[in-house]
Amino acid sequence: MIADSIRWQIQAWHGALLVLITTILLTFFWGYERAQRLSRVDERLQSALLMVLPAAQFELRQEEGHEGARPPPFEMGFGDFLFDEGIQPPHEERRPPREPKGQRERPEILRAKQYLSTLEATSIYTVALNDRHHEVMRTSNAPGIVYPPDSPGTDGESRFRTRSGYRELMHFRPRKDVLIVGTSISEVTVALQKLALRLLGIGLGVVGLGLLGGWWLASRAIRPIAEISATAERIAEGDLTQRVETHGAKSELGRLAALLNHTFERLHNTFEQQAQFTADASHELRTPISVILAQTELALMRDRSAEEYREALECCHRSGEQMKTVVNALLELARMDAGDVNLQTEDCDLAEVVKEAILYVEPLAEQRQVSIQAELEPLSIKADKEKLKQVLTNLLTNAIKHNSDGCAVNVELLSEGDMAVIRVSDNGAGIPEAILPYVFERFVRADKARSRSEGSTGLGLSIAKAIVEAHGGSISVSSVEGQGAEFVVRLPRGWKLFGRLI
Amino acid sequence: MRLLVIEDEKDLRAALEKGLREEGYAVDVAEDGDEGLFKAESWDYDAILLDVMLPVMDGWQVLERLRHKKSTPVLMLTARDTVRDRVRGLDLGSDDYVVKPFSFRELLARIRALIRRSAGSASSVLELGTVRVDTAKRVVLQNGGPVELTAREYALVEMLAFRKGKVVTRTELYDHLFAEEDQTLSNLLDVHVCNVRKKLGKDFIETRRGHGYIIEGAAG
Repeated sequence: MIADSIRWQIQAWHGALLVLITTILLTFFWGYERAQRLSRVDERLQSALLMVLPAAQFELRQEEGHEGARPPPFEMGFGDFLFDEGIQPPHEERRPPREPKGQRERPEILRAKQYLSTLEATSIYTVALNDRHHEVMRTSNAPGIVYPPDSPGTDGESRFRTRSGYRELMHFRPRKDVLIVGTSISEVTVALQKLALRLLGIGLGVVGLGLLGGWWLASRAIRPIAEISATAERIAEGDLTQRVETHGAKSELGRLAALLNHTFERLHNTFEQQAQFTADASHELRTPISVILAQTELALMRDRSAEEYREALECCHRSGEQMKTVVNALLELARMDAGDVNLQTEDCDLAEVVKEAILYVEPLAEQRQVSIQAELEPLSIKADKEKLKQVLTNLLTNAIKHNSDGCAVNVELLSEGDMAVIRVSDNGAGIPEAILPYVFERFVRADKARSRSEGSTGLGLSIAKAIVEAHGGSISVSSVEGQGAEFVVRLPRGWKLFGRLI
Repeated sequence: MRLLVIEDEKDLRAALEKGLREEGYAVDVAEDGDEGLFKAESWDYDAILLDVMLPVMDGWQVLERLRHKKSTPVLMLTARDTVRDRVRGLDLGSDDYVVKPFSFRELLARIRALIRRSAGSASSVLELGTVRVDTAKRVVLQNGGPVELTAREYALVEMLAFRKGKVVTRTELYDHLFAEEDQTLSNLLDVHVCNVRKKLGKDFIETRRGHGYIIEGAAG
């Protein structure tokens, strides 16, 4: 669960990143500081070397020259030891360097030897090793053991090394002699350690504060999400009227909230529509059921004549038929809603279809004294013939029923571009403005109760619209109350492939 | 008792009309709201059965307008059963709200209740001395024994019994005992009064000359 939480994930990544960056930065800083300090030390060693070099060279040459005549120098060992008179032991009084017997020292050598004595007061020491790695010269402040170089160097080469608390500069002379100038870097080391500790402390502090800050920020960002979740949960439990707070719709979360609200609104409306539909449907069915129940209850209340029974049965039959019509229409709509339109398309002569529909409604037209005119262009499309006939019959029936005597219904069939257009217009009562936008919806009738007994279900136009749209077409209506109405059905003449009709 | 049935569904209207007539009511009918309102305002019906989904003018409007002028008991008869519709109907001034499909017998009982209430009578049994009128069973008993009355005779007795102690004019009796299509012979009323007196006693119904008839109900 913790692993799933965004907050914890952010924290983990944030923390890891913070630690990484801080570590890298502080390490670099420490490393830089170390390099700086060491280079300062190295510089001092370098200049010391230059100063000391002449003396060392002299000593090395001396040693070389007096080989055999001199007692061999001490082997490497502990403690202070002296080589000829050039070097003074630190605890003895300094005497100016005496000229060695029989040899005049040059001024730079004298200077070097002076420098050597001053060196002893510092932490810089120097040691010279001959090719047999014996010490030829050393200052008194040199460490007890001075290691020879690990690998030989070429003449004139200088090399630095760090060895157990000492930084040494090794200068290689001809014939494998080497001059070592070194100094203790324990101070540096200690200072660097302290620095490291301080940096560690700073690093931990930075990471800690960063994590806290990050935690707080993440919480702030996540809170709206938690709010949205809570609201969505309430909605999922059934209260579709809930909406999410949008504190300022411009942020990403604000947009998400707005989007969710929009979705919930649509869901709510859909459910309302469903509820309304169910109410309307049950209402439509209740009336014929009431008739049947009333008539039968009445018929059974006392002994009746055959004629009375027959009348009652006829009423029941009519109501049964009415219910059948409504139920069938509802089922058809439900099927179409579910996408199962089941069109049986074939080549269809639209003019023929219209004529057949007109023929079908003729008795009704005659009864109402309504005349039907038709202007039909021969036009063939791929369509479900029976269903189109149903649509036309519905439109014609509506036109006839909503007309008074002497009115006329006009049917036009023509092609407009790649569409087949059928117009059914009348000059009768028209459709009231209030319900004009809703005529294609279920159970909407021009006059709420009229013609229910004549078999009208209020579903005809809904079904017509569904059929037309299933063909890829459209249906529309325009009307002025009192002046009549016009329904326009547009159907695609064929399918378009690469812009051409096939 | 005279009833008005305002219902546009032809078969249902016919069934109601027939059934109520057989129960002894005088019944007028209307097919749409306009016609219904006109009739309701013109006569003092004992109860009105009003459908909601009516052409021309819907039941809500009829009720609302009617209530400006009359307090006739109204029973709404409708397929609209949502709570909202019921509340609306009752608040607009109807006295009962019956949802279709309904049981005819229940409908009759509710109509009887409405009429009983509007007559100010709490009980469905009216005691008039030795005569007892059971308005629920629609029978009349005298000294314990049932008395055979025709539908019209019963209606006459019931009406006068509900208004015990008050004079009922001939016009009122006509208006409440006969429907639109019945008003034919003007002395039909006298015939019925005469017959009732024969069956229940000369003094059961008293004549107040120039005013009307009355049932005192104290003596027998």
